Amino acid sequence: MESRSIALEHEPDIVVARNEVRRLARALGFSPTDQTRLATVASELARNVVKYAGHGRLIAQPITDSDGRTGLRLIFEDTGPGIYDLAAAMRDGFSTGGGLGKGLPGSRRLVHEFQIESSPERGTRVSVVRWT
Amino acid sequence: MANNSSAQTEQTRRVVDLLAARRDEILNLWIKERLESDEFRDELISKKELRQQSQQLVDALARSIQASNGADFDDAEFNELRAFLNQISRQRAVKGYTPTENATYILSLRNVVIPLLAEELGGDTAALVREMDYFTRLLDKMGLVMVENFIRSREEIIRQQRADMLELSTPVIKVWDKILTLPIIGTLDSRRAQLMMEALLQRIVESGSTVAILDITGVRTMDTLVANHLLKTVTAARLMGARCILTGVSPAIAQTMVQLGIDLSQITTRAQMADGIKLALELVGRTVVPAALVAHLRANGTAPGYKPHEQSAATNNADTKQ
Repeated sequence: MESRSIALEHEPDIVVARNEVRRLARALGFSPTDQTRLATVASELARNVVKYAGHGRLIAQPITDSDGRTGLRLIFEDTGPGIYDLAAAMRDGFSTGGGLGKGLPGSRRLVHEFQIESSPERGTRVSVVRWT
Repeated sequence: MANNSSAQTEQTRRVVDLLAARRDEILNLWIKERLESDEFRDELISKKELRQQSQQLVDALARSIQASNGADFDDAEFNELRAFLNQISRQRAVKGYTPTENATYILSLRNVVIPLLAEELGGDTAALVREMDYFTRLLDKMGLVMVENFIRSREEIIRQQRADMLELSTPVIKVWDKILTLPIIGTLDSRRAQLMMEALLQRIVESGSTVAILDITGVRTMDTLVANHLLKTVTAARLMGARCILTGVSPAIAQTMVQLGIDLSQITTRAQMADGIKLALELVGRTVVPAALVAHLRANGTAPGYKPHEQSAATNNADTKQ
């Protein structure tokens, strides 16, 4: 199955990202609960891009590991200001935007693999994987 | 450097001269070309309007080239032309043109101007190539502006439509005296959540309700933002003396909420809307009982207003006497 790339600029793009990820997850054979988990992660991380960077994209890649297991990798990248204190941002309850502070740490709990890189020069890149 | 800029002025004067000297001829040819093309749609634009637009465009183009001394389209002197292009592409977006039709309109000016330019410059091939190159680059940029702005205008229209739909989709329904329900369906973004909260609080005041059932059966994804909005709504309703009951939490959403680490324990929840209504009735001091039971009570004379004319009441009466 092909990768999909979705522009993230406005709030409606978050909805598009969420629905597209759910569709892909369903097509890859993820359970309904896993579809919801992936759609929720897409919603959280896409919102971060729109809210803090204003411009970026989501790349959704179906992947297979050496045992033939299917997974879905979601990459969120932006060229925004970056995250000032990455360690703090990954802690529960930390928010600079008036939210619940559960977006990043909660998203990490919803996936099997979670990588985040952020710098003021290059912006932020979050890559997550969930296996079926 | 000075030499170079005077050479540029020299070469671009030719196009401007042409646009000025043979303006009407160019316009006639261009409009004829448009009218004969498959793309002309007289249901979308009248010939008169097309002529007017084209004339303004050619004039603005000539003015911009002249004022900028033959600079590129990025020059500030082209701002007027750019604004005009933005205006007509927006009009066309509203009218339902396609992006191709929009770009072709601008690009087709080349088919008219280039032959005339060749005629004008005679055998001076070097000058013709320079002028063609300059003019074509300008038109390409103009075509791109048209397409880009056209798409932006379409997006604006879609956003507006979406906003219009939002207004309609936050119904607050009164199910019983002092009990409201709010069925939440689809996507709950910030704006919609805000509208929803306002509508609910307003209705709580108007109807003097003390219980509100928020049903999320129709919500497929609940992220931290939505959860945050729900928590705020519940808190605000509580400040106004109303209690909220959350119903319709699917197993998938329940598990996701727990993993996200969102604490909804301060909200009373029930699996289904029906259970929510039952609880709400209890909270306002009412209960739902089978009609037969009511009849039974009446038959025993324990309830006021008893009238012994119903057959079922009579049967019940006989049963109880055994």
